[in-house]
Amino acid sequence: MQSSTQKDILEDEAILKMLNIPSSRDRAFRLLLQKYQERLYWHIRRIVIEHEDTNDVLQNTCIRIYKGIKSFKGNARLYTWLYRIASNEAITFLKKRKKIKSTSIDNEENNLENRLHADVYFEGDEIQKKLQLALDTLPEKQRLVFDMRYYDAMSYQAISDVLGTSVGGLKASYHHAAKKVEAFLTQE
Amino acid sequence: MRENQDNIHKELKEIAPFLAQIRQKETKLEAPNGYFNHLEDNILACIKAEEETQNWSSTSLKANEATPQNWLLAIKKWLLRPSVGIGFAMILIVSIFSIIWSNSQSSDAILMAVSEIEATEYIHENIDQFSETLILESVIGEDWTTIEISDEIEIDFDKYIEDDLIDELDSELINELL
Repeated sequence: MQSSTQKDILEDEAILKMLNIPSSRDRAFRLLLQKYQERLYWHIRRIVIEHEDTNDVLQNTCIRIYKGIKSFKGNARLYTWLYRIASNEAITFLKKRKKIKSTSIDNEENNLENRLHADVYFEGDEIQKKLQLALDTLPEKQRLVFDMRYYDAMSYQAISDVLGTSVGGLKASYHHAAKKVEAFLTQE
Repeated sequence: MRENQDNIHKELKEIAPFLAQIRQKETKLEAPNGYFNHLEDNILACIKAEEETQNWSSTSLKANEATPQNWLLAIKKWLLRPSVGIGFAMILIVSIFSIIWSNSQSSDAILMAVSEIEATEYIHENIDQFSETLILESVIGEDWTTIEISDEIEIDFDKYIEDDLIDELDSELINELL
């Protein structure tokens, strides 16, 4: 009997083969989206928080995937490669938002607390809101490592494949991030 | 790819006990109802739109290649722009006025350099080129036509102008006649 990971890999291989045939390219890409779109959405959403922003970043991510799938060599897991593109797009978005924040006069509107309050798709209680505020204070890479480990329960090896950082470095990043978040949550 | 949840919880409990206590799998973030039902269609539509935009821009890039025909077309288009036309018209008008102005300035300067004797000599030599009326008006005045001349006296006007009137012309009048 095949394990779910093996089944996953076989599915990915079949999708990649179909993507290389021009007549089945669109159908294969649809299959790829069906399989991964939700996971990519939530990965991006946890980083950029708001739904509308997530939607934009996800669209950019998928356009990049579509354009770059031919160059995917298959030496990494497909999911790792997709995650890497989504992570890069989300970080690019965060950097842009930070830049706008620093030049914008209307800081109240850009404040995460106010945005969470106004976001109809955020259902969290006060502690969840505070957790999001704490995550917002983390440097982008620490934030990514924390999200992948804390929410996605990813192994350090899998995170290392996505981010291209050593496992030791990732452990240190996660440790620092968790400490900072803990301090933020427990302070008055 | 995924790690045992217990391992992750144990690790977190050691680093950040409070955080481990509140750890939940979800972020309490929600997606709009039915969002994932149409997501792949929306994304594929976006990709197609992006491709079309790229095709269009690559076609227009081809049209913008630096071939001589494209250069001529670009120049023609540029010349047909109203702002360019108005600009050229303004330059033309200013040029015409400056040519006229500089010509009048230069002829005045030449006349100023001519002495009274030289002017008189010039008139003597080219008397046929001057209008009699103008000479009479300049010397006698505009009412020269009212001067009564006896029928018995035959006046050779050319001779009169040549012999007598020219000598009466002062430099100002000569300048006027020229």
